[in-house]
Amino acid sequence: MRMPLVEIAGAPRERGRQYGEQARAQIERSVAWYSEQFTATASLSWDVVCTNARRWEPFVEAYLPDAVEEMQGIAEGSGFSYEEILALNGRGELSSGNPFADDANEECSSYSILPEAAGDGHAYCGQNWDWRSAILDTVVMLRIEQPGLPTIVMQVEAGQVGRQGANSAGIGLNANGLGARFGSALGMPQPYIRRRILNSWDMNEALEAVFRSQQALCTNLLLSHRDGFAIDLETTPGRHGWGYPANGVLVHTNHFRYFVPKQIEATYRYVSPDSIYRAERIERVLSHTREAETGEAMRALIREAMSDHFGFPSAVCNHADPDDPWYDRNETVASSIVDLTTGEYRIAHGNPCTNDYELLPWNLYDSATQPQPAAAAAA
Amino acid sequence: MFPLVEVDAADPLERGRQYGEQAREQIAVSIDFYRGEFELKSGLAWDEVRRRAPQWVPVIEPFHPDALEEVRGVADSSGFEFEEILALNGRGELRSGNPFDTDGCTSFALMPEASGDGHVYCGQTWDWRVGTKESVVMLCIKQDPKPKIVMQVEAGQIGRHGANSAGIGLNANGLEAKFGFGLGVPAPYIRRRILDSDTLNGALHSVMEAKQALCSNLLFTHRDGYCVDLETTPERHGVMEATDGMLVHANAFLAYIPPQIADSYRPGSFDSLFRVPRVEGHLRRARDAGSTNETREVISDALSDHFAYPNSVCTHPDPRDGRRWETVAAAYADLTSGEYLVSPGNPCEHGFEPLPWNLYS
Repeated sequence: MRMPLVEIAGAPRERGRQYGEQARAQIERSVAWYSEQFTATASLSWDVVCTNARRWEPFVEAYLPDAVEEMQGIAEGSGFSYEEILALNGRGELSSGNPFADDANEECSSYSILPEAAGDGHAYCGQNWDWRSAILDTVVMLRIEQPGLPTIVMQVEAGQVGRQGANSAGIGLNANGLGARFGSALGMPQPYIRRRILNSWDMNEALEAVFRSQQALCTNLLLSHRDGFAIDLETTPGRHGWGYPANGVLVHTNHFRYFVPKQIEATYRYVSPDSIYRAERIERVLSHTREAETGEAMRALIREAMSDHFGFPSAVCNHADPDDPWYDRNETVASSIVDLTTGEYRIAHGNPCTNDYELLPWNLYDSATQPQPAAAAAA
Repeated sequence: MFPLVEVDAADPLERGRQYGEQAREQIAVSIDFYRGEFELKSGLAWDEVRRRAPQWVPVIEPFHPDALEEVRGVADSSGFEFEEILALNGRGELRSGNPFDTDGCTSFALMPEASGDGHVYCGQTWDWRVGTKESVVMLCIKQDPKPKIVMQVEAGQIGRHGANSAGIGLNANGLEAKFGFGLGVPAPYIRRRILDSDTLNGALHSVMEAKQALCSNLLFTHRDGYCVDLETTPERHGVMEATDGMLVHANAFLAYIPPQIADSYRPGSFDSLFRVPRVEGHLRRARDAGSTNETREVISDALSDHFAYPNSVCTHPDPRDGRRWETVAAAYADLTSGEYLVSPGNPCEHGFEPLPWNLYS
């Protein structure tokens, strides 16, 4: 396994400490990268960033109180300050109102395949995660076992408490930046929203996390469930749009497909135009999933879709463009295939055209934590 | 089964009297429940509710005078005041303080080409507060020369959802958004006027004429194989048609987003976002049903769905957050045969039984 594995368990502060200790080297690289990048692009010194980071605390405290303790634990375990960990969890939002801001550069391609469309009858979800080339070595796979809540497996930039992954309740989460920005209020950074989704036992709780948050950025969230359900939510600081799989397959990239928010209706243009053809290219390959009758065949097809080089280097399988400035150079840093039916989680560290999907040693459903009574009664 | 109440009179006052006499006990339960509920949600004491309720009279009078007479009749014979029965018929409007708390219902219509047995079906779950179930009655209204109506109501209400002898089915779902003017025609009068209609055109007119204060989703089904869904608001109404012979709706705007709330709309009832596709997923199987029994099994499966339990299509109280909701009733009409089937509570436990009333006999 090329990607570092971080496995934590226990109460929030305790598991935070474990996280910080195990991911110290990656957190160090992440802090080094973002402090340099914010200075280069936003004229924000790391000191200023850390001073401001505290302003998020009341939001997080109200929405996901355990995360505050977990981050204090991460700080203790890694030797970095609590404010620095807060900053790493607000890296998308921190850049609000400056050129670096466009989260659209987080150019991801996500998919969900329902059992009815999969030749092997399983539910799949996953994505290419395209982000700064420089953060490749800050990414870790994190497994969180937490009392009373589902066990989570996810890929994160070290120090973050949420990003994209799946949980032992059979819920998968994939995410894509939507670039657009409106409203000026300070809002809930993405990692907390995503973590609350993955803390959910059922789809109702997951949607509650999305609909009851006050966020500042527009982000696409693809929620999949092993029972053969998927919904995609184009979330904004105001209204959220949503859509469902067509013929059992849903693909989403980095543009609004279901609506254009009223606030930007008159001026909206795709910030990442390649998003238009990336979605279409993946859909074209995934339209053949019914013919893939084994897990192996399904994964081969998914790999083909996610390794697509049409429009290279701004392709589904995204490669760094040497013409971009150093601080704005992106590539696919990780690609995932989650089989929500079997609980197998596979990750390619880097571009899937050259890196194999490796099976994680953790099965999603190998969890010590059991659902609470209400959820259990349905089974 | 819920208590059956049957009224038969051309005179509205007399119909109301028959209703009030038969449903006295359930009306008492309902008043008891809403007395506490209104105070909790709107801060209005029962005396205050009674004092203000007559303000509705001039609003309702031009829209549906007969229904108002019926309300008077219900009061006469049940021993409650006219104002109290008015309040029961304005319960949606009276407890509109909390935007996250509307009827959660899932409605469906199945057209002949999609039902497997070639019949036309419509129905819904009716999710409401624990404590209201004891107040529910099944009401059969014979009101010659107007169409006969079969519907489920909270006792004392003169309209909710059901079907009539003209082959029109009405299903309804709350839409929690609020905007526009203050005092409007409460939902029961609008729904009753729909079910008093001989024709679909008449039914649709009722909705277009109504000056309402709340947003509400109305699904119209006709036995001749037609259905249409209207997302009604105090101003514009949105329209949605069937896809592949099927239409499913819940408690979120799906056809359009009213411009008044377009920049910020988020459904409070976000569980609608999975309830709709879950029911669609089940009902898609009806097409392959080889008999009426098989079609009805598919419908029963759809309305008993437990995905995301307990906040599922078939809703149960949630011990985790103390949410006191449940599916108090589920019902569907076979508009082709005229049968009306009811589950007196969660369909997962009760199953569906036909009422002794046929719409067309």
